[in-house]
Amino acid sequence: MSLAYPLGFLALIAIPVLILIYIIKNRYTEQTVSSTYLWNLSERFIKRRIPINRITGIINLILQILAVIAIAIILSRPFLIMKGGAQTYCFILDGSGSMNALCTDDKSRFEKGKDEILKIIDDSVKGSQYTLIYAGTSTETIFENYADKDNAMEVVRDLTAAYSATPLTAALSAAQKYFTSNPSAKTYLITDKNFETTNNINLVNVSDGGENYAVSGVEATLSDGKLNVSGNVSSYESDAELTLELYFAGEGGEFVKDGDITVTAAKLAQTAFSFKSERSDYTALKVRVAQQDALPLDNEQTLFNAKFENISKIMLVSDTPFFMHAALSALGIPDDRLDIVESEKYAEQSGYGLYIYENFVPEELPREGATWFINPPESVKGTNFSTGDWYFPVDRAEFSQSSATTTRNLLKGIIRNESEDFKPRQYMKCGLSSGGKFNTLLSCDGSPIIFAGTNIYGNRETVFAFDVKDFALFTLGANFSVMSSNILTYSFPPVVDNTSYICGDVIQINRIPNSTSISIVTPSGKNVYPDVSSSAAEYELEEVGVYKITLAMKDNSEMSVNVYSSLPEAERVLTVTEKEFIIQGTPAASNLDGIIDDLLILFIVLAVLAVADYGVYCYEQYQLR
Amino acid sequence: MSDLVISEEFLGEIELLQTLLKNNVAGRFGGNHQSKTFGSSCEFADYRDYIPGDDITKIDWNAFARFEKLYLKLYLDERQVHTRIYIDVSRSMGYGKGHKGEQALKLAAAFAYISVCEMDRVSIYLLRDDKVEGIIENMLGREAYLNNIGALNDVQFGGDCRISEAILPTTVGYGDGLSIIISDFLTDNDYETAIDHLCAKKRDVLCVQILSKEELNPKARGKLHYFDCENSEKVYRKNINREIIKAYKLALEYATGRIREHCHSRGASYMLVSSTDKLNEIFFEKLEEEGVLK
Repeated sequence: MSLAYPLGFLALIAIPVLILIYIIKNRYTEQTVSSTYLWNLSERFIKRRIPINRITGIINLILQILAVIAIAIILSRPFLIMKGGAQTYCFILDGSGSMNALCTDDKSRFEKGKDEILKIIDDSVKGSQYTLIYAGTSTETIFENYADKDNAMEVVRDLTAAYSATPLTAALSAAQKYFTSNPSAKTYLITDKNFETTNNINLVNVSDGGENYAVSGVEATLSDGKLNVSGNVSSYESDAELTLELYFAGEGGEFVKDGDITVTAAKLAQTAFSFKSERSDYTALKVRVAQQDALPLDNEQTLFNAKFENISKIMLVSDTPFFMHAALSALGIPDDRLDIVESEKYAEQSGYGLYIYENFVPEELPREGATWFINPPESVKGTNFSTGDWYFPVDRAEFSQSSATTTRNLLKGIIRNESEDFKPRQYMKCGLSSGGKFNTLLSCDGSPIIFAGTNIYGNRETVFAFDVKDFALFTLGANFSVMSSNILTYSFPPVVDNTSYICGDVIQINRIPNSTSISIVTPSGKNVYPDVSSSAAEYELEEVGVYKITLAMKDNSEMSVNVYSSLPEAERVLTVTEKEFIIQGTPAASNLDGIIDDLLILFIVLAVLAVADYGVYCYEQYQLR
Repeated sequence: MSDLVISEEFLGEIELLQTLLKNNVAGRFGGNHQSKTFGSSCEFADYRDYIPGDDITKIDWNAFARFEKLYLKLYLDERQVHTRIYIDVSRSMGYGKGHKGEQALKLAAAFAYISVCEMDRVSIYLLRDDKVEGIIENMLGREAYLNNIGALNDVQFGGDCRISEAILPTTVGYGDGLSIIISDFLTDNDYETAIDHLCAKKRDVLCVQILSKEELNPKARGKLHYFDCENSEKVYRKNINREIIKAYKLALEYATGRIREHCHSRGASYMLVSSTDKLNEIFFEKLEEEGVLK
């Protein structure tokens, strides 16, 4: 018998104390009486007592000592070790997306797999050790050589299946490593895949067949002013005639059915489909397969319109806006996102993502949003740059050769052709503060004439230190268009590059100007707050469905973007047979020591009996008085 | 020892009591106790034929006139008896508060009063070790009683008591009254011989066994080491529990039964009293029940 908490025996210290108290309290009381005749005579009438009764004088002490011993044993949690009764178990649990498929009893494959593990653990002898390798979004060892049966079962119960495509190679290498150090371990692989060859593995296949249909590659294009929604539909288990339904998001965000089509999908082949809608625009649409199948996760795909996901507007302050208006239009900025204001009518504005000041500067810098200063007539407080004198260029203008990441991104796609006459008519020499962290894009005679940095509010600003109309050769050229597009992206980056992803993808969430924090609500309703210390936050999509990304702005407003994460193609096939799952090595036969710790109940019962007996004894003593 | 307190009212009540003697009284003339022989009291007993030489003053002439034959009128004889009271004054009788000795002295005083009221002579003896000490002897009449009874206040308890060894050598009288032995009788020493001796002397014998309340119904429990007040070498050491108490009660029954049986077998009277019993109860209930008083 072993003890889980041997320190519990410290309670035995109470025994000598009890004995001492007993000795002190149980001394004979001396008394003189008129006659001891009757007392001595009574000896003749005392019944002969059986030897056990001789201890009745100290029964009080004996019971108290027994109670203390029982309590000490209870505290020390005894258990018996039985040689050769227990095993070492290693479970490899496949948590890939296909494990979410439902079986005939409406339980997912993953739940069935968990039940198998729980049953094995439950049936095992106490003292066994358990190791669980979980191949979910990533492969990790959840617990190793865990001896606590109940806790191990609790951890298994809490596991949930992932949605990503997870190869079992990492799990195999982890299991191989474990088997090498524990050759007597029984290794179980719980998966929905079949293997042609296995070795040192007890394969528990939880697949239950069933059909699976999937929609993928949904996109929407405008054709003759009408939306054409197209994509692919697949049937993975058999040829099937499928009904596809098209839904558009209404004003409240709820999806309203727009129409349906019937498509004959060949087994394991992608069959294209196309909806012709009467609508010309949408905020979000959804295509779903009407038929039920074993894996509902991939039966629909939602597409969000990127145009509506980046809704910040641009303000152009100019008395002669036609040139910039045309340039912005050429860059794809629709008129409804562009507000043009004459300089005289400009008052302090807010709520725009980008402010473009042409031949004009505001008295006060906007606190939020990016700014472009085109040929600023004077300095503005807080811009981190100051205007200077005008110069006629001596030498030709040159693009920066800097290898800085920001500079390279801003000059991406520029054609550096030295043969062109590349001079502005005149340029302004600006003083740049180091606090602006400016990147020079174009310089003339060593003086920066196009540069980008940040103002004192941390908002991005770009300065064109010349009049764009006087540098027509450049501004009308392709390089200016490319660079403007880069600067526009730099100043006014979209929150996300795309709205459709595959589960397991890592999305980049850009911190647009004026945003203070980013929160993500996952399809399961979990709130995630990615790190926003850099200009772009990264987040790995682990679930299937709609992720809502919300950016909190400085003016307490919020900007929300939805993206859809779909099940990986590899996980849509429900019946998969792979080549092999082999653990190398020769299994050993040695077992662990089993444990029985139900002794505790026995000791508790004994303690209760001892205390009850003592109570009866005390009662009898009381009755005698 | 504190003075005996017996109320006058109580003495007035017991004044009316009479001792009932079982044996033929052979005391002196002039007492109140009827003898089985014919005497000269006023109480008519019988007739007998006249025999020449008889006192002619005792001839019943009325009977002669009727039957023409001489008959002599016979009257009952009344004798004065001698009540002897023996008090055990060993240490065991006088130990503790409200001890048995007090009750013994009160009983002796009350018995003595009843006797003097019956015009009997009374002697009170103390039984100490193997001796009999006469503390009041041949007391006769109430005046003598009142003059002498205070001597009981001076009784000192101590030592041992061997009843038979003490009584047997003394003069106990023959057929002349009641002998009362007051003791706790908690001893292995012989007391039966004394009772037998007194009975053989044609005396009425009354044994009064006095036990304390604690002796009759012990309350003590737990581990006790008892010393005997008469002899410290006599000890009793036990964890007193229900079983011991049961045995004690059997022992008590045995000890009281021993003397009771012996007394009854010899025609003597026996009475068990508690040291806390009231005198009224003892005299008007227990002694009347026992047939000692009426």
